[in-house]
Amino acid sequence: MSAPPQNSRAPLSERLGRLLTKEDMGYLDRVSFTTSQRIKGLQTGTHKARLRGGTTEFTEHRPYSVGDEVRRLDWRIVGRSDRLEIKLYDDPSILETVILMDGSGSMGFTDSVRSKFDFGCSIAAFLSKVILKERDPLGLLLAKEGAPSMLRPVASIAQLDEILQILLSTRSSGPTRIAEQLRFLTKNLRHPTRVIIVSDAFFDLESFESEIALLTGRRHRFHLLQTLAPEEISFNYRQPLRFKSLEANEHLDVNPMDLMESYLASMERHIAALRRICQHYRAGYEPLVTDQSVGRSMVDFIARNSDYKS
Amino acid sequence: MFGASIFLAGLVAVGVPIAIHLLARQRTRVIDWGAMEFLKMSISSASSRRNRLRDLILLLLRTLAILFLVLTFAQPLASRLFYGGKGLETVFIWDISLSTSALDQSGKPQQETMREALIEEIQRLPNNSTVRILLAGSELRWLTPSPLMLSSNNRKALEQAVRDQPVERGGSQLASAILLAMADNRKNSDTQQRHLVLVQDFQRGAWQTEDTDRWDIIRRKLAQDPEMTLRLAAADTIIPGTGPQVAVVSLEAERDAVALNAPVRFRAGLRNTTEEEMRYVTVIWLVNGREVERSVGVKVSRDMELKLEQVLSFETEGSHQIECRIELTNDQLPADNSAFAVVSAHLPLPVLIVDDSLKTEQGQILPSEFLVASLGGTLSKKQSKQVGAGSLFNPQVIASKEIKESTLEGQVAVIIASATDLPENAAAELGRFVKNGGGLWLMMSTTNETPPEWHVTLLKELGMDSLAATTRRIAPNPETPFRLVATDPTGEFAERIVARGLDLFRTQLSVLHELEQPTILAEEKLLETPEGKPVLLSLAVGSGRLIIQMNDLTRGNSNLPVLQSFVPFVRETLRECMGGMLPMRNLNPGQSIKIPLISLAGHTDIPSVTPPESTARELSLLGGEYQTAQTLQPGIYQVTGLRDNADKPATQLFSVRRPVEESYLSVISPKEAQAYLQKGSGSTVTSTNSQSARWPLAVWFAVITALFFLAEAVLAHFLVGRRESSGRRIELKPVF
Repeated sequence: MSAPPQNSRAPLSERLGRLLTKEDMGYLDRVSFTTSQRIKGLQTGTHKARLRGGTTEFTEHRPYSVGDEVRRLDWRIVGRSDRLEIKLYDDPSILETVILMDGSGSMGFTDSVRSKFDFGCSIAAFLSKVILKERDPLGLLLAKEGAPSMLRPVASIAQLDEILQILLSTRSSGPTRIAEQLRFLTKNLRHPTRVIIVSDAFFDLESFESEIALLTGRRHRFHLLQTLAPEEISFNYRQPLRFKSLEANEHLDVNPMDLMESYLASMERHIAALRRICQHYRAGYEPLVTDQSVGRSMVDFIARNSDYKS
Repeated sequence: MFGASIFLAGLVAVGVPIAIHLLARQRTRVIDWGAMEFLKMSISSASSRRNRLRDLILLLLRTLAILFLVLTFAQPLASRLFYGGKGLETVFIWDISLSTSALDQSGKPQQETMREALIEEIQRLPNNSTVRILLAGSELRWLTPSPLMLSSNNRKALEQAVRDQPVERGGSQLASAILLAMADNRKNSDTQQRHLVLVQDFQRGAWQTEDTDRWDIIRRKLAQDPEMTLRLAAADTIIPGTGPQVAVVSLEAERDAVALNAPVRFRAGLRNTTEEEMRYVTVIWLVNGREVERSVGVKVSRDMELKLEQVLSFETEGSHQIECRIELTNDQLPADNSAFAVVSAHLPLPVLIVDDSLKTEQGQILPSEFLVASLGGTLSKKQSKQVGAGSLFNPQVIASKEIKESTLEGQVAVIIASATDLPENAAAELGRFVKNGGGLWLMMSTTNETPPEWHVTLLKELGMDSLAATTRRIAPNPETPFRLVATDPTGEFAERIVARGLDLFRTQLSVLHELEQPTILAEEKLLETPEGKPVLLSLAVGSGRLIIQMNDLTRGNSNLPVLQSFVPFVRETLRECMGGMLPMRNLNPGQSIKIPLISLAGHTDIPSVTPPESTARELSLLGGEYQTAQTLQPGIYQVTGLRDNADKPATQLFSVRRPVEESYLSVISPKEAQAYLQKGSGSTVTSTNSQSARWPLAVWFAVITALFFLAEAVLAHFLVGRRESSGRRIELKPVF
């Protein structure tokens, strides 16, 4: 699936259908990225639980929806403005999730299968659906030049719509901004948050690690979902080619047969380094290849990173 | 530089691997790639450098393989490629002697097989190689005047010249020919390597097997010069025949100058060299091509020389050709079934003998009497002036006072055996007589201590006054007289005397005149003492000849007149005195044909000689005679442009004998022949039918080409194998 042109207000189901296949959607019902993990998984210290009962710190208002508890209405606002608003409170037991979506040019690599960005969008859509289905807050931050501001974590179906809207209207381009956006998250996330990085991880590991160190130092967690194309991990090109950079104005004329071994070795070293970083910071690392099934891959990922099996 | 340079056009193909290499590098496909940094790291990595190096090596191997393949087809020549510009030369030593006419076992003349082998060898030579062909016949000469650089244009002409070259009737000396072919002029030419190829018929006679010195030199030269090789051509195809072989090996005349109608004895030698004990032949005698006698069923035994005699006489003046021919069936070598001889028939030649000596005692024989008797007369006192019928000479004895122009007229020679004095003007008359072509035989009186005045005057008249001063020498004692030897044992005079069986050493001279100023040339001495004192001189004077004998024929001073050798001595000396009037008619190969100026009777035409089976050429004027020494080819030589006594155009014939050994067909085996070609180091030079000692450069190029292709195939397989085996996918493992 490729990034479609700007679509203003297609139905949610239609948008979801552009990113997920029927098979993928079939997996949605089988998986749960539950919050109990939030309680058990934290190892860096306690965090505030976000109780529906509102016994903790007030954070914000949102409009009353059918089904919300009446007791949570902020009567002052009702009395002043006839608007029905309910109060939201920090619940340290609820882990907010932000999907950091890499929108750099390298994510646009498309060869035999779909582009990594499209695949990543599908991943993000799947995770968004799963997380929001559990009514856990989910946000989105694009790592690319000119990206819109972060979609703050919110637990509502409308958030999904927003997320999908952003994903479908974005084209990957430009240099990688992962490190910068990680810094942004570090500065701006108020609560311990699970940052799910969807990227090909073709960035400088030193700066990445330093940002990760800051991030996890603020008691945030991260998962790295590395999206790779089959060609990038096999490099099975036979003929001489011109490789044109998707991020910079440069190209290389090479005979792939000359470079295969050394290229694969470089890639392996990079992936091994990523794994080490993730291991060190007790994060999940999930390599995904674009020729894989999104649903199946996410089921496996969630199963590995959740107590509750699908 | 290349034998087939047209194939150099294929060098274009050398660019194919390079073009493929470059074209392959052209990007036909562009991929928008995300993992650029990994590519950049890969380019600078060692493994990619090794891969690039490996590809460059493959490209180099492919390019070199095609290059050498093209060069192989272009037939590179070592002369240009390996030796800094100096070339290869092939010298063929081609035996064209009589024996090569012999029939082989299939009945084909051996020479035809040899000729085909030679042409085949020439055809195998690449263009731009140098070739020379040395004709090893009765004389050694080159087929082409200078070394020939083969090209498509001249190859056919050379092959035709080989086809047109006739077989000679003479012998062959292969060792001498090889030495000539080895003569090193490579420093002054582009030749670096020389291949000598022997094209011969395996007849022992030509191999000079007894000449071990020459073969030692040949082998030493081969051992010392690695750039020179010698081999046999077509050793397996030249197979001498084994049929019957009877030859007329010789034909000799008793005398080659005879009087008209005088009987002359001819003796022919026949030889049977085959295995058969007896062969029966028909013998035919011919005079000037006309059969005069035929004998059928003449039996010729094996390993024996049958001597046949025939007596002939000639009724006309001039030279006559006599042939003895045999006929037999299945003769292996028909070319030696004839032998020739030439005689010249003359009216008796008038000779004047001057003798003033007187008989002082009974029974004394005067010098003139001895001389007359030697010329066919008798020693009878009464008939001393008469000679027998059939005598070539007609001597007349006179006193010295009778010498005058009238008495000299018509004489061919004057012998002054003894004179007290000469009349006035006699010296001048004799001088004119000699200068006009007459012969004068002057004997020194050993009775007088010093030459008499008339002797000095005569020598002055002849321009020989330096020879007038002499000193009389007397042998120390009777037991040690002066003796005679031939100054040049191999010269014509000595040969004629030797042929007559003259044993000069039995001559005893007790008194001898010795020249005080021996200003003479070596070739002017005919006889001398063993100590080198001239005894008989032969000097050219004008058109005639002067013979000075440093002793006389007085019995008290010499035993010469009574020896059996005296007659041939007188005849041959008189013949010498008569100059070319009585030339030797039957020569050995290399002996000169000489024609005196007198034979031209004052005409200015230059005589020509026509050798057997050849074209006429002019004679050269040397020492007052027209002559040629190019008489190596056996057979009949015709000299034209002469005049007879009646001043009419005349032709004279000469015969050159055929080497006897050419008739003796004795085969030398190829193994034995090759042993002669063995280098001094012991390595053998093999024939063309086995591997040559040195591979042609093209073969080496082909080997190198194959090696390049093999290396390329192995490396490519190795490289492709490595690459194909690395068609893998990075293993991805999650962390959770």
